[in-house]
Amino acid sequence: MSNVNIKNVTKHYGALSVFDEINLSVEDNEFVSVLGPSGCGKTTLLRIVAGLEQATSGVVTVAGEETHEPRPDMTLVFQNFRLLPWRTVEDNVAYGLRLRGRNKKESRLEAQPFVKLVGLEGREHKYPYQLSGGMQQRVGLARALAIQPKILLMDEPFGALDAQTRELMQDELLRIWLANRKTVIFVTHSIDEAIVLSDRVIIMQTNPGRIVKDIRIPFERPRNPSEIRNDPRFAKLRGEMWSLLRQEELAPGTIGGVSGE
Amino acid sequence: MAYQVSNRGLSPQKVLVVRLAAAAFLLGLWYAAAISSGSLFLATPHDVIIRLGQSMANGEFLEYLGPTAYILGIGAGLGVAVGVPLGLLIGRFRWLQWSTEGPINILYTTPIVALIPFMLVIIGFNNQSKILIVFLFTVLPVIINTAVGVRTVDRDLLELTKSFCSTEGPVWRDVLMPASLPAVMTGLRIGLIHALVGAVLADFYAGASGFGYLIILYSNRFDVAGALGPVLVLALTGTAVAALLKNAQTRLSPWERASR
Repeated sequence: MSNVNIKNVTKHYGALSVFDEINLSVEDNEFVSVLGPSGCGKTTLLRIVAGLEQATSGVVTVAGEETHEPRPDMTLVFQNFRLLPWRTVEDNVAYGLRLRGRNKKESRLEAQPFVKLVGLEGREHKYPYQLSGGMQQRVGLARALAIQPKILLMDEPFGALDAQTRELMQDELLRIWLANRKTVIFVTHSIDEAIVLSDRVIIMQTNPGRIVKDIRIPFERPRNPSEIRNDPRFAKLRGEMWSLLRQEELAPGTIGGVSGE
Repeated sequence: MAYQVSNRGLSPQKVLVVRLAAAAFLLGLWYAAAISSGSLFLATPHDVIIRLGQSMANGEFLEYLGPTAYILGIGAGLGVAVGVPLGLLIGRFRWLQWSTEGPINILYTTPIVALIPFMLVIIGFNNQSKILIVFLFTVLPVIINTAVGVRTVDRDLLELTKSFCSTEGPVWRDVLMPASLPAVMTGLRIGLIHALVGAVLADFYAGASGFGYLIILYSNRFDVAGALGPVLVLALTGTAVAALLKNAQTRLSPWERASR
């Protein structure tokens, strides 16, 4: 079981309300994106699921268990990669394995397939500063996958990358997820990214942060992102999502929401 | 590191030429000053070197160096052995920081020189007080720099360890130790240079033995060239220690070099 249930979760910072009473249920091995403008609290929501922040009220259950702190079967991929600068690629990928009791040699051996999976073969002994942003996030992804989590949380993982690299990484993620299905909650502010990757897209708005729409993405898997982007249904979905996010932009009195998520 | 002068793409040869030119200029100034002020006040560099050679040849140099080297070794060794672990703990645990911050700052801002007479009176004119003086000179900068190194570790990386359910031990191994290494090395560099100062001061006050006393001995004989010899040796030792540690730091933390 690896389903995630968010029940009536509210988050306030003092008098400031980030979001109220969020309810979201993610099924086993489902790929769900949370899409919204900055300030809607999507990152905060993900961090609460990850156990890095506490909800003001409400509960998150994972596989039926209430969760208040990080779980070993769940892992988070960060927007800013967060690699250990003093470790090589292979040791960064092996990081979680070492924490789970493997010695250095065992952890490297076990990490190797994941290095390969993200296409970093031959770069095992490089340091993060010797890699491009895209490659660094490949390491971040491999590190998360290496501990074979049941649930993968991704916080705008491709947000810091340039447009082409971003699309390449989306292709990679699709391929990896297909071969190795797991529950994914993916936070993004890119409409295209959300449609291409997800089974469902959750649309959030700000002030207060709330879920306004839950859209099922009809495309068959395995998917070909460039075909999807040319599909008329893609344009329709895109239009629908855009108008939901745009409403937000145009609605009066919503300027100046919570920033800096 | 902020005070690391960047080469800005200059070739190593050019950098070396500039450095040598600056050294030659300073040496020239020294000569000019020595010649214009007369040998009673300032000796020329070659006089200093010649007297240093004589003092080494007749055994005086080593005789006075020995006790100071001994005190320096023990005092600075203890300073590092106590300062690094204490700094690591102070940097990691808030309550320890709050309880030690006051005393450490007071001790650090107090000129320890001013305490030397008291220590000598209380402990006695012996090696123990000299070792204590060197220890105090070393330990404070080591503690302070190490603690800052740990405290300024990237919060994002600490959060990463949390998200991977890391326990305290591995947090030290994976993040705190390597991340604070550059600051620890800076602490060692400053601490060891302070130790040299402390050792010479201890000799000055406690007298009758040691490298510092040799300087006073020659000065009292109006042997300016002789007195400057040990000073020159001290200066070169300090520079060498600093350069060695800088080099070690660069080799131990290649990621730092890249981010400069």
